[in-house]
Amino acid sequence: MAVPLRFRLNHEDVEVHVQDPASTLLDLLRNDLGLTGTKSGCAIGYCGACTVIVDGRAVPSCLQLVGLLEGREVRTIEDLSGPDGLDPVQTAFVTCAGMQCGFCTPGHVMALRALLDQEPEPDEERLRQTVDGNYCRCTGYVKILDSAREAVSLQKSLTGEAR
Amino acid sequence: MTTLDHGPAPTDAAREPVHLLRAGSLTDALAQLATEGAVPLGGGVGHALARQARRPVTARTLVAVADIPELAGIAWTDDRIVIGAGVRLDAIASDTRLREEWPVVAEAAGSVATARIRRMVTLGGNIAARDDSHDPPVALAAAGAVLTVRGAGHRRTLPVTEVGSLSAGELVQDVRLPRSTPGARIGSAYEKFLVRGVWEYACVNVGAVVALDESGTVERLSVAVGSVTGGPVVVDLGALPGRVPDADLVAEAARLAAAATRPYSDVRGSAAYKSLMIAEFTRRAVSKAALRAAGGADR
Amino acid sequence: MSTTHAPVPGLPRERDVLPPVIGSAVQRIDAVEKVTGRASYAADTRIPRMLHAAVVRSPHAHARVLAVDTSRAARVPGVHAVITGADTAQVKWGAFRPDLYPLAVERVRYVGDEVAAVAAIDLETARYAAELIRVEYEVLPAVLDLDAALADGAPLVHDDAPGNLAHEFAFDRGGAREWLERSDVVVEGVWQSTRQWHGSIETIGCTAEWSQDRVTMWVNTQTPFLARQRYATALGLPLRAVRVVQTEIGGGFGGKSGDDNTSVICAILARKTGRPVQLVNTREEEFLASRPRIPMRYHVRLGFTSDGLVTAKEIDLVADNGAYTGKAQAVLGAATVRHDALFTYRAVKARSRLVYTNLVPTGAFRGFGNPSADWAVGQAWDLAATRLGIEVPDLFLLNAVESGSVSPHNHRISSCELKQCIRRAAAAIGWYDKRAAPTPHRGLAMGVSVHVSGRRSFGDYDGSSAIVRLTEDGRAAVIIGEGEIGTGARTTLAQIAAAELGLAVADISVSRPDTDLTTHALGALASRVTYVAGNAVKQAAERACEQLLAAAARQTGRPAAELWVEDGHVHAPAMPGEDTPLRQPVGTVVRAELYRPGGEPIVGLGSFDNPSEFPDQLRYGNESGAYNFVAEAAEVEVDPATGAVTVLELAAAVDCGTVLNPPLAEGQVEGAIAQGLGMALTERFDWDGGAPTRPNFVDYKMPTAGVMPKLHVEFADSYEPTGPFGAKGVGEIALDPVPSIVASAVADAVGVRVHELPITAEKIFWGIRTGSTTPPEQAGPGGLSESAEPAPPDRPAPPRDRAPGEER
Ligand SMILES: Cc1cc2nc3c(=O)[nH]c(=O)nc-3n(C[C@H](O)[C@H](O)[C@H](O)COP(=O)(O)OP(=O)(O)OC[C@H]3O[C@@H](n4cnc5c(N)ncnc54)[C@H](O)[C@@H]3O)c2cc1C
Ligand code: FES
Ligand code: FES
Repeated sequence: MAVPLRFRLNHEDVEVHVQDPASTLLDLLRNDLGLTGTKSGCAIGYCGACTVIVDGRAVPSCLQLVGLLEGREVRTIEDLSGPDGLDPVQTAFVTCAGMQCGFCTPGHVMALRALLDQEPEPDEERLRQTVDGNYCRCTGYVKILDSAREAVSLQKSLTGEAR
Repeated sequence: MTTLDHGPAPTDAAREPVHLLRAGSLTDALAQLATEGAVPLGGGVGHALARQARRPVTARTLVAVADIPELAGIAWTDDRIVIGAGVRLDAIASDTRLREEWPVVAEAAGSVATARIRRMVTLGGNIAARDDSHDPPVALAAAGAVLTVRGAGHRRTLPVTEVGSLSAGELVQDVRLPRSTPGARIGSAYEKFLVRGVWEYACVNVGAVVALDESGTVERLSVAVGSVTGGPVVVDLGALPGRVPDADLVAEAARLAAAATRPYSDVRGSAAYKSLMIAEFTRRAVSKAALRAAGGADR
Repeated sequence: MSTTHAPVPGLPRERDVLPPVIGSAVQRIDAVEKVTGRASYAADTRIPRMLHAAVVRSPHAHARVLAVDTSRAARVPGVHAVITGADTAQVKWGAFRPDLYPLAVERVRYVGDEVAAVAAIDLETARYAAELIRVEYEVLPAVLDLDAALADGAPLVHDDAPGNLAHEFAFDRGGAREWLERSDVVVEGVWQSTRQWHGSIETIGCTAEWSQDRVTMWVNTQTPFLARQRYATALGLPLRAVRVVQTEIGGGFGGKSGDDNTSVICAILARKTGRPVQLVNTREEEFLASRPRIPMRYHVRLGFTSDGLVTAKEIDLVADNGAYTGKAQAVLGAATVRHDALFTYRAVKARSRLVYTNLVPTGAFRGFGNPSADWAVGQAWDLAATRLGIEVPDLFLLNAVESGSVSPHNHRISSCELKQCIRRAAAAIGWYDKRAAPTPHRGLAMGVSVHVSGRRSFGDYDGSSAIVRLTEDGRAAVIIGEGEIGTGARTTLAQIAAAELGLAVADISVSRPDTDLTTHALGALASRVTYVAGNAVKQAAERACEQLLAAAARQTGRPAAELWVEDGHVHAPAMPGEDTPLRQPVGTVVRAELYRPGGEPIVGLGSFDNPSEFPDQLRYGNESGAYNFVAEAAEVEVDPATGAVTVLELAAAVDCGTVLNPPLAEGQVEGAIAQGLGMALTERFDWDGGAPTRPNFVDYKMPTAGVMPKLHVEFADSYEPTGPFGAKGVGEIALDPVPSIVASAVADAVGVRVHELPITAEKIFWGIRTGSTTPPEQAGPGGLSESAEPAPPDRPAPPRDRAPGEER
C-alpha cells in the first residue's frame, strides 16, 4: 500500500506516494521522479555522487530514507541553474576544468553549494574537508579544489555586487 | 545488490511493505515498539546499509525516534551530562562544553566518517548497531558512560558495553556521563588509527581517561579498545592507579591493553599487527589524556 | 607552452608557429552539461517500456552447475524473462582468446561468474526474483593463486589450457645472459603487483532494444566498434545485427572496453522480452566481475658496468589472468617489452606467462601492464643506484634514450625529452638540496616511464578517420567514432578542427560514437585519441578548408591562394582598385555552395594510420608512431611506530609533445598520479575463498582529497613531428612510475623495501621491526585472511556466509 509523502523539492511542494517508506531518496529521485542528475556510485554512503541538499545541508541521498523526509526541503542539482545561468559553484567547475568524466561533479557541486550556504567564506581546511567527502577517480582533486576556491571568490564578488 | 546464491530462499510472500511510524513522544514510541516486529529507527543510516546489502528484513515496522523530545539534546546537571540518543554525532563533536569536559567523547564522535555522515547518524543508532569498531562506544566505554534504556513500562540502565542485552521493544533513551568536580585534574583522549590515511573504519581505536590527584599521582585510569572481538573492551589496568603517569606507566597500560584484547585480521591489518597497534595507540591516548589531566585547562 | 621548434630532418611535418587555439586553456565542450547533471550516463538512459535487469552470480570459485531452477523467479509478478546459459548462443567470446560464455555453460570459474539473469518491471522486482533462483552446484577444486595454478597436477581452469597457461612467449635479444655475466654489478629481485580496480564512479551499464532483427545497445563503452564485434560474436549474430551507441561515460581507465558480460546479457534479455532492458552493475558486481588490473610477478636481473652504464636485463614474468582472458594477453606483451624503450639496454631477455586462476578475470587498466613493469624494473634500478653509489637521476641520465633511439624491440623513438623530464622533476622536488640535508624518516625517490600514442594490437591497423562538415550556419561538425571517456578528447579534437578551420571552438560540435553513423574507430585506449584521431581530424579539417576556399574563390572570382579563413570568415586582401578587403562569413560561402544548381556540401574526409608496425608473436615491432615519457619524483614520510606512509610531495615532468590544452593535460597527469597512489598504498581487499570478503568501498579505499600530496606538474618543451600540431598521448603515462617511486622513497626513508603491492603500513612496520615485511607468525597461504570475524552487523557484506564447499 502506498503511503503519501509531502515535502518540498526544488522549491515546489510535492506529494508522492511511496510503496516503501524505507526506500531511499536516491531511488525516489532517479527512478520515480526522473531526476537523473543525482548519481549513484556506491549506494552505501562512501562516494558522495548522490549528494543532495536537505534542509540546507549536504546529504548522501542513498542513505536518506524517504519516510524521514516528510515536511523537509530537498534541493537537487536540477535546481541549481536556471534560465539566468549557472550557479557560481557550477561556473567555477566550468572555468577551472573541475571535471573530467563529470560523474562525480553533481555531488561535488551540491556539497560545496551547501557549504557556501552555511559558510560563505570557508577557509582552505573547510574546503578540503568538504571535497574529502566525495570521491573522484579522474581528477586527483587538484582542479576540484581549484574550483572550490574559485566558487568562494565568485560568490563573494556576486554578493558584493548585489549589495 | 549482488545476488550470489543466498541460502534458504525467502518465501514468495516475503515482500511485505515496511511501515514507518513517527513517534511524537517517548510514550508513543514505547507503545509502537511493543508491537511485533517493530524496531527503533535513528538516523536511518544503518537501516539503509542493511537494506542495500539485502539482508533479510525482519523488522515490519520502523519507529522513528530520533526527533522525539525525550531523546533530544544534551543536558547538563551538577553531577552528570545526559546526551539524548537522538542527538547526531556532528552535534556531539562540535559541542564546546563536551569538548572541554569529555574530549574523548567529542573526538570519537568527530572521527566518524565525514561531517555529512555525522549529521545523519544518531548516537543511539551508532551504539545500538553493536559494531565493535564504531567509534563513540569506545570513548563512552572509557568514560564509564551508562545507557538509559526504556521499554514498555520499565526503565533500566546499562553500561555502554552491555548494549547487546537490549531486547525487543526497548530503546536507548540517552547516554549519561559523569561530571567531574570543578578543578579536578581529569584528562581524556581518543585515538583512531586510519591505517590507510583515508577516512574509514578504524584499524584500531582507543579511548583513555586519566584522573590525577593533588600530588600528580594517577587516581583513576581507564582505557577502552575497539575493533576487537567483543569490543569495545574496557581494559583491566590492575594496580596502575597510584603511580605517577610516567613513560613506564604508559608502557604498562599499553602492554595490558594489547594483552587484554583479541583483534581480528581484516583488510586493515593482521591480528598480530593490530595487537601492536593497540599498544601504540593506547600509549598515545594515555599520554595525551595524562597531559591534558596535568594541564588542567586543556583536557 | 612552446611555440617554436627546430624542424626535425626527414620527418613529415613541422610547424614554426602554432595557431593560438593550440595550447590554450579552452573550456571543455561538455562542461556545462556535466555541471548541471544533464549529461546522460549509462544508467540515465530512459526508454518507454524499459525493463530493469539483475544477474545471478556464482558464489564459488570453481564449480559444476548441475541445475538452475528459475521457476519461482519466473512466477514473480512483474518478471518478464529469466534466462540461463541455455537461452544463449553458447558461443565463447573474448578479444584475443575466446573463452567466456555470456552465461555459464556447465561450469563457473570464479566468484561472480554470471549464471542467470532476470528482467522485470523495476529493479527491486528484478533483484528479488534473482534471489529466488536456485542453482545447484558441485564444487570443484579451485586454483586461487599463481603458484597453485602453476603447480604440477593443478586443477585446470579451462580444459583446453594445459598447465593453466593462457599465453606465453619468450625471447632473448642480444644475448642477455652473456652481458649479465660480464657486468660489474648485477641486481636481482622478485616484485609482485596487485589487482587494482578501475573504480570509475560510474559502473558498467547498458540499455538494449531490438527492432526487427537488430539490436541497439547504448553502452558506456570506451571502444564501441571493438565492443560491437565482440558482442556480435557473443550473441551469435552477424556484425550487422548489432549497433552500439556510446552514452556519456563516468570514467573508463580501460575497465569499460567491452570484455565483460553485462552488455551481452542485457541484449539477450531485451530480445527475450521484446522490450528495452537496462542492466547496470552494482558497485559489488563491479568489484566481483569487471576486469581489474593484472597482478604480475616479475623476477628481474639487471646488469651494469662499474661506471653505471646499463648492460642487460632479464625478466621472468607470470601474470594472473583470472578465469577468462579478455585483453590480458595484449597487456602481457606491453608489460614485457615497453619499458625497454627507456634505457639503452645492450640486450634483453624475457619469459612471460599468462596464467589462468579461479579468480576475477583481469584486463586493461590505465598503464596497460606498465605500472607493474615500471614498479618491478624500477625497483631494480633503484637498488642499482644504491649499489653503484650514483644518485638515481644521474644514473637515469647516463642511460636514458633520446630522439632517434631504437629499442631492442624496434621501438623507434621519434621525439624524446626524457632527459629534460628527469632534470625538471629533480629540480621541482628539490632533489639535490634534500639529499644534502636529509630529514629523519623522510625518503626521496625518482622513477621514469615510457608510453605509446596508440598501439597496433587489434589487427594491422591503428588508425582513425574523421569527417568534417561545414554547416550553412558557419559551424563545423566533426563526425568521428572515437568518443569521450572524460579525458576531454572531444574538446581537443574540436580545438584541432578549430585551428585548421579558423573557427571558434564553440562553433565546433564533435559527434558521439554510433557504429551506424560515425566513422569507424578503435576508441579510447592506448593513449591514442589525441595523436591518431587528432591527425585524422586535422586532415579532414584541412580538406574541408581547402574546399571552402575553392568555393569562395569560385564565388568571388579570386584566386584561392589569396584567401584564408579566420574568425569564422573567409578573408582576402582588397582587390586592386577597391578599398575594402573581402570578409565573407563561412556560413554564407557554404550556403552559396549548396544553393545553386548541382550544389554540393563542404565535407572533408581525413584519415590517419599510426606509422607503426604490427608486432610479431614475440612482440618485435615498432608498436607506435610516437612515444611519450615521464619522470616523477616523490618525497614521503614514514611513521616508524606504525609504518604509515604520508606522501608529502610529488613532482611529474611529462613529455607529451605539444600540450594542446594545459588544464586538460594537467588533469590527466594529476588523476593518473592519484590512481597510482591508490595502487601503491591504499587499494586492496581482504580475500577469502577466491573473492573479496566485502567487495565495496567499505574495504576498497581509493585516495580522497585529504591524502593527496602537493603535486608539481610540468610539461617538457617538446614537439612530435608526426603528431597533430606536435602532440602525443598523455592519458596513461603519469600513473606508471608511482608505485615504484613510493616504494623506493619508503626504502630511502626507513630502509624497508616492500616486494608486493600495495605498500601497506603493516608491511613497512614489520620490515622495520623484523627485517621481513610479513607478520612473524604468518598464517596459511591465504595471507592475512586468517580467522576474519564475520562482518559486523551494520556494514554491507555479500551474503556469502556459508562454509566454502557447502552445497544445497
Ligand atoms: C559511509 C559510512 C561511514 C561510516 N563510518 C563510521 C565510522 O567511521 N565510525 C563509526 O562509528 N560508524 C561509522 N559508520 C556507521 C554509522 O555510525 C552506523 O551505521 C550507525 O549505526 C548509524 O546510525 P543511525 O542512527 O543512522 O542508524 P539507524 O539505522 O537508525 O539505527 C541503527 C541500529 O540502531 C537501532 N537504533 C537506532 N536508534 C536506537 C535507539 N534510540 N535505541 C535502540 N536502538 C536504536 C536501529 O534499530 C538499528 O538497528 C559509517 C556509516 C557510513 C554509511
Ligand atoms: S551513492 Fe550515495 S554515497 Fe555513493
Ligand atoms: S570527474 Fe570522473 S569521477 Fe570525478
